[in-house]
Amino acid sequence: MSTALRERSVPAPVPARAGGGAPARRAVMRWAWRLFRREWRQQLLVLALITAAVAATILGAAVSISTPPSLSATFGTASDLATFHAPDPHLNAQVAALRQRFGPVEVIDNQVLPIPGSVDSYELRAQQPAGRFGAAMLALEAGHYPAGPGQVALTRGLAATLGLRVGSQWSQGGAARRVTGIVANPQNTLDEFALVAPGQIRAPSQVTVLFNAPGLTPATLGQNVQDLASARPPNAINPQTISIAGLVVGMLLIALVAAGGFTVLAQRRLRSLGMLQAVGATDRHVRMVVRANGAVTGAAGALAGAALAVAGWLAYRPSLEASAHHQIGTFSLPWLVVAAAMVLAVVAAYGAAARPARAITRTPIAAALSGRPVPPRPLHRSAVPGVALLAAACALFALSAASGTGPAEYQGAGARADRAARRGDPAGPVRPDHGGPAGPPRAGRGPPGPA
Amino acid sequence: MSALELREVVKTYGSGHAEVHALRGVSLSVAAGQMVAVMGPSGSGKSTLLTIAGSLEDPDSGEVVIGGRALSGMSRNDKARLRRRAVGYVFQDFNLLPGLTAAENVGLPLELDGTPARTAHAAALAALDSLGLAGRAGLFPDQLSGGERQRVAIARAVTGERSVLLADEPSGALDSVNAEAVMRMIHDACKRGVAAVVVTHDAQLASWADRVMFLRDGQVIDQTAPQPGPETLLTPGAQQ
Repeated sequence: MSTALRERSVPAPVPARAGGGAPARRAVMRWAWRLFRREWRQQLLVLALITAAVAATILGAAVSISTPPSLSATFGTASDLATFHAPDPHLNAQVAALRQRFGPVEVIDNQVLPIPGSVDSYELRAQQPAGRFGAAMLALEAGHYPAGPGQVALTRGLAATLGLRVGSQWSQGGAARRVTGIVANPQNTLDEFALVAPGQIRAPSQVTVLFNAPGLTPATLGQNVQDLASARPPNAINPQTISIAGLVVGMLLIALVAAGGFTVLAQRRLRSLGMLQAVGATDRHVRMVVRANGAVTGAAGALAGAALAVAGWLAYRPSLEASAHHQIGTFSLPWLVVAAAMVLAVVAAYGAAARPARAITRTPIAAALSGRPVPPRPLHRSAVPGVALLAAACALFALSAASGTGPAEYQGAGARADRAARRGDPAGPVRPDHGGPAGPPRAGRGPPGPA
Repeated sequence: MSALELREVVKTYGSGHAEVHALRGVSLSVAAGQMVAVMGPSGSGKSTLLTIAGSLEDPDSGEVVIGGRALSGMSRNDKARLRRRAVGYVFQDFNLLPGLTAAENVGLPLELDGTPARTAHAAALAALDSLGLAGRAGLFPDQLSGGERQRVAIARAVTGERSVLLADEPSGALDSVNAEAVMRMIHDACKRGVAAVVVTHDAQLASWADRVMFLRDGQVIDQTAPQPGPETLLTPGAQQ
């Protein structure tokens, strides 16, 4: 048994790779990863907090974004919508004008009809199922779309109300139509209508024209025109913004907790980190181990949180669809919030690990190897500034009491209110006196009323 | 030129009533290929001597020179570089990094110095093979016996171009057979030019050294060359 050692000499330092370069970083990161795999249970609290925060943010944002009714229920994929109440002798000319000015338009005829034996009504709607803008407002649930005269498709609720199903004959207004399918407006499941092929409504009560008028405000086109911006509720804050703002605050709090957790963990690993330094790791390598642990914890929490959120979303989405009354895509998640939450989780955990990483490199290697942290140095700070400030505060209180001014502005306001009350003036000023010009002096008792 | 030299090194811990003089002007010179054993009672400053010699700790005064380079004035990074290139440590409790296999532990100083992982791994395997641990290279420290761990620690300490080997009670946690085997490995390393300083309580193990230094209360009280030579002290088990 013998070592394969040859002649020895102390190599000269190589300034270009003082820190060992990429191989050293890889070795350190490998060790950090192994440590995380071995000791992840010790970071369960931080992991759980990050996971919960990310999951709650994603799920909250997804629900808040998907719950409000979608404007696509009426706009389809168009950005502008013009409504004409029929009969309008100029309707065709106006539609032609819109088409000439803005290119393709889609016309949807509507006729409101009463439900027999009920005070409720429904719409008979003539719409092209594969229309340029309105296709998103139609979904076929059974059968096929009506393709010509004598055919109609109904929403499921309306079919149930009228006692019809696919293949039934439907008589309305003296016309008989065969029910060819069951349809729905996926953007608004409360929308009950009977769909016929375009041009099959002779006397529409309302005509909707969908088109795109980019860069123009609706007011310049007419009072009957709306665009997506004007149709949105005023002063609505984007739920994504609220979610990200909440996440930032939450992550700051989590980072504070995580910093404590990482400090404890770094102390537990003190001896191992000392060993690492003893075999030649630089301070930077040691910091990298602690920070990498933070980043890996953050990444693990982010992934777990995102997975939890997606699972929760898949489970909750059907219930949300039922309560929000519109169809919601399976993966209709706010991906911007998902990405932001995951990045923020990693950044917060990495930042939380930065302070213990710096602190651990200040421990002498010999002390680290022995596994005992360096006791904090006693601080010797002068008590003079504190005593002086306390004395100054006492003096100011005493001076205030002696001069009787107290908190001047409110005392002045109180005195004036008292004087006004004595005068019986209900409009007596009770606002604080900021030293501004006083109002004109009152000559005497006036009648009650505004000054 | 000495591979390792300590000149009038002084180290004091604590202050006031708690002040402890760990080293009081200790000087030591170890030539390449020489082994020096340091003996003394507990608290005599043996371990402090090693930590200062290996740049793990700074002396209050005095000078430490390794391979002709004085440690005073060196930056922390320069000292780290010196540790991974020139100085190898063997501790009583092995100090292998948990989570790294035996081969990864041995190759770590090389990787920290910029050697690609594959090259470092090959060097580590060669070192482990030379110490009879080729079959244990992929095991983690907690899967190895005490003797195997210490051999891995020795492999780590001598891999690369290390010129100084510092061993603090390397056989303290081992049985007599493994203890002698460890001392023999250190002795073999010295035969190949490594300067070694070994702290031990065991006079029989100290007899492996070319010189024995006795410390008491932080001062060198005696230095002597042991008799007889280490080979004659080998137990039959260790010789195999």
